[in-house]
Amino acid sequence: MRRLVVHGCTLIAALLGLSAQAQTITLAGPGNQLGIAVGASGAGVSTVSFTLGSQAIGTPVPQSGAAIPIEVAFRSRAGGAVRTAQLTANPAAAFPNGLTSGANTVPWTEISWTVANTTTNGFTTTVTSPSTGSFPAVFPTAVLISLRCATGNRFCYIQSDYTFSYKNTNVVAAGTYSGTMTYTVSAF
Amino acid sequence: MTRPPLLAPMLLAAALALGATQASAQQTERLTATFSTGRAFAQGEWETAQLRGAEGNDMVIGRVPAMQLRLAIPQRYTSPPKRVRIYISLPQIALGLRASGSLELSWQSGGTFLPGKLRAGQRAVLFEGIASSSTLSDTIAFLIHLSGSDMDANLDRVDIEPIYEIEAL
Repeated sequence: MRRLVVHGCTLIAALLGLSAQAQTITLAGPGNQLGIAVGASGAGVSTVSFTLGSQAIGTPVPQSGAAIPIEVAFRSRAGGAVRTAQLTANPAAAFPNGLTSGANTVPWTEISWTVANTTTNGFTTTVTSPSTGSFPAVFPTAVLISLRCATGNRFCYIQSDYTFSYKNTNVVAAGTYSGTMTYTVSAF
Repeated sequence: MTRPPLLAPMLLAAALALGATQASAQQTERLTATFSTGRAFAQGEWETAQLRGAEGNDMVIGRVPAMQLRLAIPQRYTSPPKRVRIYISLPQIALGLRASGSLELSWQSGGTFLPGKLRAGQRAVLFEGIASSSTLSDTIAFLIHLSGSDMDANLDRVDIEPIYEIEAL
């Protein structure tokens, strides 16, 4: 019996010895990531210009400018819930009503656009993107792009070329009219 | 009076089974590890911060700040001091990972431990030399790489538990 007791103690000690403590390294999941690019990479503020000869003013034949690419990207971990990213536009603070030339203003409603060359680069994405539009009298704009990442998508992406036009509806005083529009993407 | 005869075969069987475990444990034996920080934490970041041009890159990195990793060395390796090899290994399974194929754990050390890297299911040498004290410690800074797609979104974290084992040479 004495010998059995000794074996029992050895067994317990050995079992305790087998349960070496481990230390856990915890990695917290990264946050979702939202990106936007308006215009060419590294180009600063992209500019669209319309030059009207005196005979073209107020004809009203729209005048088209250059196309500007707009990209929206959204990255989340796989298996996440459905996510939606939305693109809207607001005028910069200095140009609340439109493009200005001294005291004269061309309202933002005179600027319209068409959308072409939309691509999602093969990433499964549900996109709502009106093919045409124009800036409203009251901002922000309606949603210009709605990007919906379905459950399980880790990356959603869209790029479109926006070709802006000046509607040229009215005769305005001669001058160079400038304004800045700011695009914002938000996700929820 | 009938209990001791029944108990004896049971304990004998247990002792025999234990003998087999100990035989393999003589090759490698698990060590108790502690971190000086108490816990090791890394806030995951996307490897590529820029979204443009990074389509499809969902690699996540986590940098664990440098800390002391202390390994408790059993007395039989230190008295008298023996030449030992200590391994670090990663289990195939980690809490919070749906798949471990992309997981890579790498580390830099202060010179006592060897730097290295591991994937799930692999083992690497962390130390080789004379074990002369009951605690072997060094500064260590872990770096975790894994695919965001492999993370279980419902848990929102991954718990990695490296295993440390010692063997006498």
